[in-house]
Order: sequence, then C-alpha cells, then structure tokens
Amino acid sequence: MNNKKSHPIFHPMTLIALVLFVGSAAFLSPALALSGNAKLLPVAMLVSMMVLSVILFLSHLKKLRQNPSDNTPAVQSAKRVIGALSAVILFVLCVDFFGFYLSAAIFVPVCAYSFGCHNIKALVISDVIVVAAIYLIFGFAMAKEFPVGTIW
Amino acid sequence: MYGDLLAALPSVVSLENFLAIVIGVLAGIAVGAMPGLSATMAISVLVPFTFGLDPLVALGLMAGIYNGAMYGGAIPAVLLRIPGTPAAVATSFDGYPMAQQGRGGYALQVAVVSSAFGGIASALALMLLAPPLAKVTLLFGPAEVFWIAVFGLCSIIFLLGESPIKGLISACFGIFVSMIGADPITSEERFTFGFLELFDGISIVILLVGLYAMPPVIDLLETPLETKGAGKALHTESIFRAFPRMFGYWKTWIRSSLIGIWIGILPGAGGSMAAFMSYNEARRSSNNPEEWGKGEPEGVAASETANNADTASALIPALTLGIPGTAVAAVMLGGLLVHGLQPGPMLFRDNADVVFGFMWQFLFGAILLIFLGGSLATNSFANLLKLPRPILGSIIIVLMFIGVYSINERMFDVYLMLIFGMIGYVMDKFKFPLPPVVLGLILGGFAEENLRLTLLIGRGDWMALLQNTTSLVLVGLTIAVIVGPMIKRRIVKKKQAS
Repeated sequence: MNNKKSHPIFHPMTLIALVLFVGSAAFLSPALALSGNAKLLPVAMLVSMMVLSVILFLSHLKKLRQNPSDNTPAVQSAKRVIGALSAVILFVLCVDFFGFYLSAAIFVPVCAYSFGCHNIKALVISDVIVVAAIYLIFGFAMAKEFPVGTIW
Repeated sequence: MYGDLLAALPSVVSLENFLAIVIGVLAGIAVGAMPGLSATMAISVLVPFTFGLDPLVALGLMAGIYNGAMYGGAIPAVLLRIPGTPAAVATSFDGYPMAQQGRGGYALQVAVVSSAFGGIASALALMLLAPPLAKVTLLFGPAEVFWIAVFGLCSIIFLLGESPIKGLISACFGIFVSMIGADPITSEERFTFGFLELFDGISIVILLVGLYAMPPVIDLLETPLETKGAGKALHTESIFRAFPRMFGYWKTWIRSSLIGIWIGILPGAGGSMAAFMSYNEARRSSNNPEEWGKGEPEGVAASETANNADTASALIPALTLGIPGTAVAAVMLGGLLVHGLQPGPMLFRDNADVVFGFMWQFLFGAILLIFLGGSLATNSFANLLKLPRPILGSIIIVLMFIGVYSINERMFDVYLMLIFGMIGYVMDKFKFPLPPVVLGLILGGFAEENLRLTLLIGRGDWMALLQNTTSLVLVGLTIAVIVGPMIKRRIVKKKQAS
C-alpha cells in the first residue's frame, strides 16, 4: 500500500476512487428500479459517491502534480497487514468449519506466535485463560451457543 | 425539567449500577493505558455484550469506559512519552519530563485528580444544559428534524478530518448502508439481493465493530511497541496526602474545564483539541512559562482536565439532537440505539429515567476515578504496557467474533463485519474519517423518514422543507458550517502567502 515510483493510475487513492465509482455504478441499476420515493435517497447517495470519486481522483492528481515526491507509505509493513487480515479471515472460516472453541483455542497462540510473541509460557497461559473465561462467561453463565462447525 | 433529573437518581443508586461503573472505569483505564486501543474501540467491542443487560447498567459501563480511558491515556504518555489516546499527547509534554526526574508518580496523581475534576465539570454541564435544549427541540416537526440531521452530518463532515471530500464520501457510504433493508414507509426491499438477513437492515453494532475494532487490531499485529521503562514501580505517596499540593491548580482546573466543555459541545472537535487549547492557554497565563515542557505539573493538569471535560459535554448535542461531538459520542449513540433508545428530543420524554440516570452515571464515574486511579491501580495499569501486543490483538479478534455473532447467532453477521472491517481499515489508513459513516447510518434512515413525511404532508411540494423560521435557521447554520472552514482555510493560505 504505497505509492513508490509507480504510475498515478496504480496509486492506492486512484484504486479507491475507481472501486468507489464502479461499486456505486453497480448499485445504481437496482436503485433506479425502486418505486417512487423509495429510490430518492439511494439514487442521490450513489450519484453523489460517483461524482465524489471523480473529484477524489482529480484532487489526488492535482496533489501529485504539486508534490510529486509525496509517496509516504500508508502502512509500515504491507506483509504484516496482509498477514493480519488473512489471520482474521482464516479464524472466521475456521469457526464456520471446525467450531468456535477449537478454532479459538488454536487461533490465539498461533496468531500471537506468528506476529512475534515467542514466549511459549505466556502463550499457553493466555490461551487457557481466554478459552476458559469465554466458556465460563458465555457458554456456562450466559448459556450462549457458538458455532460447532459444519464439518463435523 | 430538572425534577426528572432528581427523580432518576434513586434508579442509579444500586449495586449493579455502581458495579457497572466501577468495571467500566477500570476497563477504560486499562484500554486507555494501552497505546493503539481507544475508548471508541472499547465501547464498539463492548456494545454487543450489553444486549442482555438493563439499559442503565449498559450505559453505566460505557460512561465508565469513556471516563477511564481519557485518564488511562496519560499513563503511557507520562511513562513512555507514547500517548495511550490522541487526547493525551499534550500530557506527555510535561508528564514525561516529570517521570524522567523521578516524579512520574506525582504526574499521574495530578493527572487522575485533574481528570476527575474535568469529568465532574463535564457531567454537571450535561445535566444543566441538555434538559432545556431537549425541551426546545421537542417543538420540532419533520422538516426541522430533517434539517437537524443534515446539519449534524455537515458539521461532522466539514469540521472533522482534513478533507471535506473524504468526509462526504464517508457520510454518503454511511447513509447508503442505512438504506439497505425494507423501505421505512412502503416496506419495499432495497439492496437485500434476496438475503433475508438484510431485510431488517444492517445492525449498527456490526458496522461499529468492523469499523472501529478492526483497524486497531491490525495495527496491534502490524507494529511491535517498544516499552522500555514500562513496569517500573512508581514511588508515590497516598493520593489524599498529595492532594493539598494540587490546590494551586484550581484556576487551571476551572479554565481547562470550561475549554473542554465548549470543545466537547462543538461537533467535530475532540479531546485532543481541547487538551492542546487548554495547555496553551494555561501556559500563556502562567507566571513561569519558560518552565513548561520541562516538567511543570500544571501542564499535566491543564491537558488532563480538558480532555476529560469534553467527555459528557460531547453528549449534549448527541442526546438532544442526535449530533455527536466526538467519535466516541457517535459510538455511544450506537450503544443507545442497540437498547432501543433513539437519540433526540423524544429520548428525554419517553426514557427520562434512563437518560437522566446516564448523566448521573457520568458524574459518579468521574468521582470514582479518584478512588480507582490511585497509586496501586496506576502501578498495576502501568504493568499492562508489558502485555505482548500480538496476544492482545488475537484476543480482541476472538472478542469481536463473540460480540457480533451474539447479536443474532448467525455467521452472516460475522462475514458482514469482516467486510466492514476491511473497508474501515482502508478508510482509516487513507484518512477517510470514520464518524461520518456511523452518523450516516444513524441519521440516514432518520433523515429519509422525515424528508418523506414532510413531502407527504406538503403533497410533494419541496418548499415544505423551508416553510418555517427554524428550518431556515438550520439551513443557514448548515451553510455556515460548510462555508466557514473554507473561508478560514483561504484566510490562512493568504496569510501564509503574504
């Protein structure tokens, strides 16, 4: 997620503007199909977002022209960000397939270890405390049921 | 008007309420003490867990967290020069030099007493100003309510954040999300694409958790934090013994409280602006301004009083008009909605006991801060800085899942939260302000309903929106909010050029 020495078309802000424009345009068709006043605000919002995305793109180009060296990276480590996002997605998918308690018990130490905490004692203790506390508070005291997993 | 305020007191004075405030304050201090976590995130994650609770108990927790987090931010600001919250930046100017001189314990004592003073002043302002304002707004019809929603959105868009374009995009996105589900008047399905889960619209909790919890969690995992100096025992005397030495700061406490309250009421400003303004003002009035920045306790007092004084006061426009003064207030509005409490004038009429009880909770939370943020607690919270960030991040991810899943016990909501989380992360990184999204979701449906009601009453005549003085005043204020910052920017540019 940085702008280093790339063509303006590949800059994150350009991509954001493009996604916004295309996304709004895609929703515009179902919005126009709505009846009467039900389409009033949705159409207004979608058209506004399309116009604003164009303005965003133009203002980004203008900013680049004024300050071509403006290439501050948005994140410190793109790899770690992608890793963190993948970890969250993987956790949710695991809960869906394998069940909540099993996924949580594996996720907490594995995720923490992968992101730099190599103190095994701390990992084991925190894992036991977290899973036990969740079970006692939500499963036992509040009788909440979490996904058991679709795979079983 | 104030009779309701007194009548609400007995309902607050109960064991479970006090327990909620105590837990909230302690949790808030802990969250504030950990750089990267904020009151906004803590309340977002907490909101779903309060479903089963009595509304007053849930609001007590939120009030406690808000109060506690504002003080908690001072702990790493003083010990490590890393502000736990943005509002604590000014605290580090004198707090950190004091810690270097071995007076870190006293700096934190000044911080806790000043925070409590600011919090008490703010709660009193909320109690005094909100009821009369609510009474005025009770007279509003659908056209005025529509303009209030527009004014609220414009204030947040144009006064908060650096770019009005980005603010507008955020607000449009929030309003669009509020349109998903059944139409409020005709019940026609809008953008549900056959998903039954979307028929009732998107729960604000899903949006809050995604937008406000995901970015800090990714940040926690992305960047390791240097915490050298954390966890050293602070040598402090009893807070009550140290208290007489602080009497000299009374002028700063009063001045900073007034600044904090004023900034809190203004939509778009926030705790950090209050703290900076108050710090500069106190320094300007000081007899020895040259000592500031080198370990002057009054600097800590000024900053901490102001950033706590904007807590409850930010709820004055939020509770009465539905316009939050800060991001935390926007999230708190979401918390109110979760418990079926629609912010706005009707709240004071229909749920007087809850809304006035909430005000008392803010006051008690601020008082409890002195007792809960004492030497022992501060030492314990300072140790939290040693907690490995990756462990904290992974625990928060699990809590986010529990919170969102618990709303309707379905995975669909969790996947939706993931989508909002990713959108929130990109928005956060590219400086798209998040509060307009929340406000758009809260006020979008509200604005649409009142706009269409006005058009129905006026038989489709758009001039019905401008047929009374209040509407015209609100339109004028909205224009001022849009044009004002532009003129200010031009003047600053001209000055810089000359």
